[in-house]
Amino acid sequence: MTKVQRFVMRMAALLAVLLSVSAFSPTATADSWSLLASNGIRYSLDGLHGKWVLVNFWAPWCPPCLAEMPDLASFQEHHKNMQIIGVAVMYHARHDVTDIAKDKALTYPVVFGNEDIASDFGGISGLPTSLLYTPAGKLVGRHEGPLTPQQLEQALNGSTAAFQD
Amino acid sequence: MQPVRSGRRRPAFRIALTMIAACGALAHAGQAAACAACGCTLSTNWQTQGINTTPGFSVNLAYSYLSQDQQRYGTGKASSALINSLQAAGQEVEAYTKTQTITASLNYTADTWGINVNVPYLVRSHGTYGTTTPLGSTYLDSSDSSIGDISVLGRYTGFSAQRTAGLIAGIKLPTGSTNTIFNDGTPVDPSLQIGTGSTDLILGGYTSGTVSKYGWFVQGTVQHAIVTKSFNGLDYRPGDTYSLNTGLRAAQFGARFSPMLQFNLVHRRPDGGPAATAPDALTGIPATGGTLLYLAPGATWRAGGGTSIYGFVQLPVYQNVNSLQLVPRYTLTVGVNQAFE
Repeated sequence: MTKVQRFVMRMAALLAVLLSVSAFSPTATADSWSLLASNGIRYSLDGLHGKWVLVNFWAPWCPPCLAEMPDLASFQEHHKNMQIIGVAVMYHARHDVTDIAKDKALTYPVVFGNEDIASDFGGISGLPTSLLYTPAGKLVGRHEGPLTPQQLEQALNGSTAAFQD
Repeated sequence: MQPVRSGRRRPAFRIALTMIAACGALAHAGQAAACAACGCTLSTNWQTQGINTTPGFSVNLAYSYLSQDQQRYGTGKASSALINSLQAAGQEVEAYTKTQTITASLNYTADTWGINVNVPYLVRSHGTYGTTTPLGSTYLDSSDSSIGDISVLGRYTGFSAQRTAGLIAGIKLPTGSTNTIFNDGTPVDPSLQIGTGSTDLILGGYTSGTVSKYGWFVQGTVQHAIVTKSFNGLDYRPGDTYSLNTGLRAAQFGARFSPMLQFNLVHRRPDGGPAATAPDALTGIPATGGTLLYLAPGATWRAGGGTSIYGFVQLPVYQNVNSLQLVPRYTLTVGVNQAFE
């Protein structure tokens, strides 16, 4: 076997390993998640059937993420037909997350997130990123950037232009 | 029987290349977030480059394959005539050096600092035609395997809230074996031993960011021997190594599959000390050290549960070695990283 052939064989073996891992690893989708919040309660899409669900990814160092929190907290307080779940990612210590949740008086649960959780939602290209689900558990779409109460109100009234598929 | 080995050696970049591969295995960085609406950096985590920003412990296991079997002189392939004339002038001609390295790494990342402990296990075989003409009339080989030089690297990342930049400081310890011998019982050159015998200081830094939908990183390190070892009563000082790595990938936090492209540049100064390789037999220039540039495509697969698998190949783009040295056609690295929170 020549050196080139050996090189090709090694590359093929590497590719085979990567592909086989991808084939046999569990394929999580944005509609089959389960999130354990810092309050100890586990939230799943099935368990929230009948409510609108907004999963909001944020980071402690992200100014727009922090800026939208009062609006989200207020919206959660006045809309019992919606469940907002905050997923904190890229934090450096858990107390960074809990301190912000306390300072912002969040009225919705917060999850200590990581890259695996972000993978379950298809990855994140920017922060904040929010995913909206109908009461039937169908993914409406995602919104990158801060959400306004008006956009959320419109979404609950059937106008979901702010959320892209 | 005439002696095969004359003391003239061309250690090439076997150590430097091993370092690049190890660094690659380490620098599978953490989290760069591209705060789409605000321009924040999304992923600062380049774990395959040793830049891990995910808090807590992680372990990494990497395998790298390096086969040096190409004779090179300066920037070009060495001709048979040149090799023969060098050998006729008394310079040793090596046949090949094959090194396989398994590196186990433990990483801990705190709020503003982190630490990496890297334990390599090397399997190395080497063959040489020595100095006896005509080429091939004599041949010696060696084979050895043992734990190599353990390194401990610290990082400080408290310059920004996103931890996108950091300083690196560490030490490489002389834990690797320096007792490898040829099949005739003579000792193998210091540069071909599993360990260098030296205690090295490693200093560097890195920074990362995003451009549009792509994340990038740049990392530079300098390695300098601060304490050296004598081989048979003769001092050997490995040359300083300057490394610059840069990479580009899609800036998506939590992507299941992430293709990545890196450039790895390494410049190594010639080894020093009486036990080091003798100079070029024809020109008198050093016969160790040089500059190598590699293009390294690769990919990371996130398998879930904190596990990610990665692999990349380093392809030479530019090779400029001092005198005659053995260089690889490619290097290969595969690894698995497990994060714990």
